Amino acid sequence: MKKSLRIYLGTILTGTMLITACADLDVENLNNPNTDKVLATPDDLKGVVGGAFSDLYGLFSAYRGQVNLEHTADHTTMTNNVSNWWSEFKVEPRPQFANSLANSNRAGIIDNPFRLTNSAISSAIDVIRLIENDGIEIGPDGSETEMVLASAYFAKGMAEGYLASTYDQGYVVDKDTELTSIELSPYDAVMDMALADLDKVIQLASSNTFQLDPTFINTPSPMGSTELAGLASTYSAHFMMTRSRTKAQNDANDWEKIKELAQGGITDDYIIVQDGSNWSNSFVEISGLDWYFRIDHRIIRIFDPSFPKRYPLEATALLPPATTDDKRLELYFFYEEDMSRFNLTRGAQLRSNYRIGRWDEFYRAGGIGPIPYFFDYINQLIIAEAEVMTGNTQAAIDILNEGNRVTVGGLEPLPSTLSDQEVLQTIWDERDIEVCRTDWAIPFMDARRRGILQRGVLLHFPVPITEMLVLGLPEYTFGGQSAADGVNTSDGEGAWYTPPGL
Amino acid sequence: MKKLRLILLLTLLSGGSLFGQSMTITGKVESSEDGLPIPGASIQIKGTTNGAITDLDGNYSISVPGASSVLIYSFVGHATVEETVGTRSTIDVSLNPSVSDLGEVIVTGVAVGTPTKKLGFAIGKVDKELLQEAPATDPGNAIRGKVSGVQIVQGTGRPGTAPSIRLRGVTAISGSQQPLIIVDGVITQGSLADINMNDVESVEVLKGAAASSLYGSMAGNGVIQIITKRGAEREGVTRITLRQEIGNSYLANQVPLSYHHRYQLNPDGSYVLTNPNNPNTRVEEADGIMDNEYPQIFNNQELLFKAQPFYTTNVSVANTGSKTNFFLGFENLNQGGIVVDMPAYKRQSLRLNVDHQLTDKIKLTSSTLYVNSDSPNNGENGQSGLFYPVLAHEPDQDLFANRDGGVLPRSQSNLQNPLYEVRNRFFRRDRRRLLQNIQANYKILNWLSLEGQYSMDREWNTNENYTPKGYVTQNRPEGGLGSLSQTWRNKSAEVVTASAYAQKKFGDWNSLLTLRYQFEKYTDERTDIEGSNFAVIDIPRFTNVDPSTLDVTNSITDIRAENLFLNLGLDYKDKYIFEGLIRRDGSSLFGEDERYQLFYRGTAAYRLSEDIQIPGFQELKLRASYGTSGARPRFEAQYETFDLDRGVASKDVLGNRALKPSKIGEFEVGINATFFNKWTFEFNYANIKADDQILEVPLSSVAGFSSQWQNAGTVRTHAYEFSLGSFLIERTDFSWNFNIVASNSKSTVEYLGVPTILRGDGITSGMFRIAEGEQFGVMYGNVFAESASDFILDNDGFITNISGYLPNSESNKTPADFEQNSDGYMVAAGTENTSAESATILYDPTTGQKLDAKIGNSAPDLIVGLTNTLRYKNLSLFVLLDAQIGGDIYNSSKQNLYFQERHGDLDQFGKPEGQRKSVPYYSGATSLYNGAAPSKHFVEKATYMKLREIALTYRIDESMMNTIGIGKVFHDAKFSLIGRNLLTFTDYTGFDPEVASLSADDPTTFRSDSYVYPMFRTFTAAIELRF
Repeated sequence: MKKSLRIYLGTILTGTMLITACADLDVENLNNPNTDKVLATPDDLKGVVGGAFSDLYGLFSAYRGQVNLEHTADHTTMTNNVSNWWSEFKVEPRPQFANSLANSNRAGIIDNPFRLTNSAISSAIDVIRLIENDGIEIGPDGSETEMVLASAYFAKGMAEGYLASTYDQGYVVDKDTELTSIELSPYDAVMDMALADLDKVIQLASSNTFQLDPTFINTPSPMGSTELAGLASTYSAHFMMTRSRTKAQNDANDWEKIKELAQGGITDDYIIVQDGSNWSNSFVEISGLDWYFRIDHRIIRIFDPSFPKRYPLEATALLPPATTDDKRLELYFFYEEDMSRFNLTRGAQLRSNYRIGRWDEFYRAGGIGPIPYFFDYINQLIIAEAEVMTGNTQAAIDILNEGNRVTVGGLEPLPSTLSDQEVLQTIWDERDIEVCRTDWAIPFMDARRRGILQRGVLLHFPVPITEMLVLGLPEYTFGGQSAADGVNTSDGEGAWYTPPGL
Repeated sequence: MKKLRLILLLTLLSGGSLFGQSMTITGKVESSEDGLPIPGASIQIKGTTNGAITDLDGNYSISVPGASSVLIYSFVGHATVEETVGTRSTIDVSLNPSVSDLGEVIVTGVAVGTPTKKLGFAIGKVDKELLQEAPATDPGNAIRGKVSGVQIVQGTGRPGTAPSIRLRGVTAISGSQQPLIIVDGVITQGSLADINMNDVESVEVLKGAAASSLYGSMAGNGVIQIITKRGAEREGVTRITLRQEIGNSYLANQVPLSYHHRYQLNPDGSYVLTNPNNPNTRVEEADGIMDNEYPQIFNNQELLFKAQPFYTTNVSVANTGSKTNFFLGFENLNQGGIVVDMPAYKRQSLRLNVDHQLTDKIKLTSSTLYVNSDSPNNGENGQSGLFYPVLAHEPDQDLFANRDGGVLPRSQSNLQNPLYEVRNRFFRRDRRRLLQNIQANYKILNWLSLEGQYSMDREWNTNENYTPKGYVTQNRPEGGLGSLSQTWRNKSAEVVTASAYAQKKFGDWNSLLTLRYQFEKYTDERTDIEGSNFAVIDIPRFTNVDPSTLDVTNSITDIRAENLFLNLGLDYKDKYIFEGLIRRDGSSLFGEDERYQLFYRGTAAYRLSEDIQIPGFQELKLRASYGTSGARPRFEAQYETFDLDRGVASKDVLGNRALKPSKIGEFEVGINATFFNKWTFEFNYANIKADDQILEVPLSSVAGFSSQWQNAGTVRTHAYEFSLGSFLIERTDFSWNFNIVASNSKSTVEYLGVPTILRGDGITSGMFRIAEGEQFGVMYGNVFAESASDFILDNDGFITNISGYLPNSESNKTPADFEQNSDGYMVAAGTENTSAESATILYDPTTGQKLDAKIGNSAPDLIVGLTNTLRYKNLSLFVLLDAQIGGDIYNSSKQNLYFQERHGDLDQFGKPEGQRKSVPYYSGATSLYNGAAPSKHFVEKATYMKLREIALTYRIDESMMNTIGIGKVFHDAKFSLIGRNLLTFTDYTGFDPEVASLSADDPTTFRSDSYVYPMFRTFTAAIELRF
């Protein structure tokens, strides 16, 4: 008995000692790199900058924010209500925006742009820190360092510009900011940082000669430093202008500076080639569907002022095509008879016969091909508006007469006898017609600074509730009739249209 | 071989060798029921504490003092026999079995096979009798309604998909609830749908952490082991079995749709069109009521859902010999489903189980399963695929005439023709699977055995989605350019185990000590390629796509784990039972700082009926156990990662060196009883704390990394289980037995260290909330006023909680401005049955936004299963009913059909004039449709009772064949008529109340209905011959 008991216990002990093996349980994740790998060699920083641009231009495939801003500015309309596509931003009178977890559409509209722009800023700042703080050099003999630095600042400045013109708060980040304890700042501070960053780009791109890495922005041919400087200059002017939330702010803007920046800006359309995978612009692509998006009557009335502000609510009503001398009505927008999807019950404001036809070819090519993000003509219009605001109305008239009004629209050149207000109105009308489906929410930014938004339209997005929860702060929101204070929500004083019952 | 290969029992050289004049008695103990040897039977010298135990083959050897010694032979579930030694040196004994299943031995959750009577924790076991009557197509469906504490949800009826299984409570907030599946000792990681049920001997279910502590961090969600046949039912026989089952599957219920519309009609019944050449220019009637006749009507559901064949062929050969037994089985399954023109789900499997006793001391075991399957996979869920258009198309659209191309004359949103799609888009899901287990047992000493085991589960998947060039859609009537995507995915799970068992009897104490080492290695390699815009038609190859659209990605995951455990079981005279287990897991999935974790279990059981004679009770056992197991984080969770796409890197997830597995600690108490010789009863209560939940915590966007995996939550579950069964009547000619199982479990989030987590998809994203203090399965959304008491008034009597309220505004409303309509909703007074009628959404007066209220909870109150077998002579009837009582489903298909103006609720034709409601009441964004945000109107009760399986079988045995005069052609034969999923009694208005969201992570908890392949019923006839 004792012997077997000893064997019994002996087995346990020997077994325990023998079987404490040391298998190697350290496994590397070879599917996704970590920071060390991504920044392992200086050349890798280019990949990070590429990521920043990828996030930045991701705004145009995650496009719900842009669509809804253009809806609420009464520039675009559509009738798809499957996921509340128009319910919050096209209802009349305008309701409050639900910045809540319960709102299943919220993430697509305000979460995504906030996340994408901040992610771009974050990637860019990583590169900037390594170059400026740690002195990393890139390329043979460090020859590409300036190019990468300029690109990083450009991505950062653009992201901050979009963020500050869309949200009421954001993060002000520079190469020395402690990211773990950062707090929200008002949009003005973020916009100041954006303009400072774009200014750095202009300096770097003017004092060096380089070509952008082709993976950064998918332009038809690689962008040179001169072009980059021009682009940064144009966007600086653009952001300075679209920064204004109200007419008062717009009128008090530094138009001299805007004019100077725009005059140093682009001389050709800023075009990005979509390849259907990394580079895609869903907003433009879907606009090619003939029954989906329509253009709001506010825009039709630019061509034909006799056109009604809103569609009649009778079932059989079918408005005849608008009459105008401007050939662009037929070139950019097509008249469609089929109103079957525009249910009466959804409201007259959704109904329109004119669809956006300018991008049909792009749509038919499956969303693959070059599309413009910023027209040279729009840059000219910035100069024109700045001229009027600084007292040189004639210069503005000259610009208008050289532009698409005459060359594409076939209209008569403007006489020099026009008043400032009339010239401004013409400039704004031109912008409304031409910016359709180009850069981020320009129609909304314009309507906002002109003060023509309907009562109750939010003037900027609140910070998404998901971000507020992470920060441990209470959520807040804008929009709606009871919040129409003229500061964060339009009070409708200069509204182009007041719905019945208001 | 009566029992399974993991049983190792020893002969003990007793102290008898120390006494002088002794004799050695040897012999064999058999069961009188089938003549098979009984391993583990006890032989005790009466009046002493000396004894022996039979080995695997039922042989024993014991030293007795003299001829007058009396030996007591006993084994659980059998009547004890006493034999006086006398002059015999060999005594063979045959023991008579007593009641049913208590003599069974369980192999899951315990180191060595243990009789159920001696288990300290609850286990569910389903034997072949219950599995064979109406064989299910996969193990998940096979155990439904037969084991308490199991919730099985078949979210989609698509053939080839296994149901989701949840045992007891919610143990993982993030990640799978699926239990660990073991097949013949092989730890698997693939789909249950591959396992063919025809060769299954039994299924064992370990429901809680206490039971599954043996599997440590693999088994936080419980364990299911499937044990297949290993030989013929008795020794010396070669049994050949042929079975053929054939029948059809049918759609069980249709969704109620509208067969009337609201467009203006000409006197001849045709539509009024503003442009006679454009069928899209119909004109709505002002009243907005859908009560006009269509020019022609087709039932689109009947066009798409047509009966498809179901058949399965099984052939097996089995033999049990003195040293070797084997089982060879082949299956060919073809399940057509119910969708016309969709390829069938096909599965072939080949199984070979071999056991061989190499020498007296060495036994070899091998189990092999090879499965080959092809499944169809047309898209489902949401707007893509077949099941949304079939309901959303208006009934006057002739889908059949256009099923080979051609655009429907009247276009409707972005709806495609599902009959065309199913014929012209091609999906392939091919899988090959190999499960292999090989094991060697070496009995070094009588009481000490060593075992080595290697198991492997390998899987090869090839998936393809192909849309040809020229595929016509409403938006591209000239035909699109097509696309192709392929995925190759190979997975393997390998486990090597080395064990030592020591089994010794010290007087009246039995002891079993196990020491085991295990090494696991999992790999998953995957390559995906996508491309579009073909140059040439009908060449589905990547050489034919536009190279700028080509996207290639691949990934490899590699997981390793190493585990060590020690298990000690002690029992005194089989009645006071104790067991302790300690296990150390090391896994590469745990963070670097938390590589090794400990799990443990302690159980105690007291077989009361051994000490106290309770009248009527044959067995009464009280038991309690506490144990821990865990759930491992997913592969990428601990690492800092950048998203990498075509060489461009962007920050993704922040790493976490301190990431641990979640710890599931369960305290379980229960009672097992057998009474009146016919009844068995079990009751369990489990209190489960699932701690250190692995959650993805969002970080601030500007930090760059968007999230981090952390251990940050606790879920508490209280579970109650009950089962009662009886062999009520057992006579030669007639017998009736039944078993009822019922369970209830409620899981609540006790602690959550992250902001509220949202789950759901599409309309329901954000509807399911996981928040501290909330029960799992709770749904949030908007609600409507149903009576005047729902209104909150201000001091002036104006309603504050509706839209448009402003203090002191002239347009404020009072309750007198509202009245209740025929649906029970408050509408503006005087608007009922007019085009202005609208339900009133309740707002939150403090925030001015729509009220975010609890609208339902998908957790059921009770899940019940009842199996019934009636036998009269050679005819038997098997019926399985299962029911869910309580719980809600969110019918988001119905909500979308309101928007599409297609749901049957909108059809007013059947109502008297003057009581008809107009479309805006249903589909208005500020009325019931609620603008595609979750709304209480679409929450429906999931309560149902289903006649799940019914089988009528007629058996022909040898004596009958002789009577007929054909002689012994075969050993026996069975003819059966089988129905599956026959009848459903429910108030749910969708296709089937068992539906669940496919993309919301856990179908057993997140129950919403969104255009999935409907469940169907199947009728078949089967014939089985055994030679």
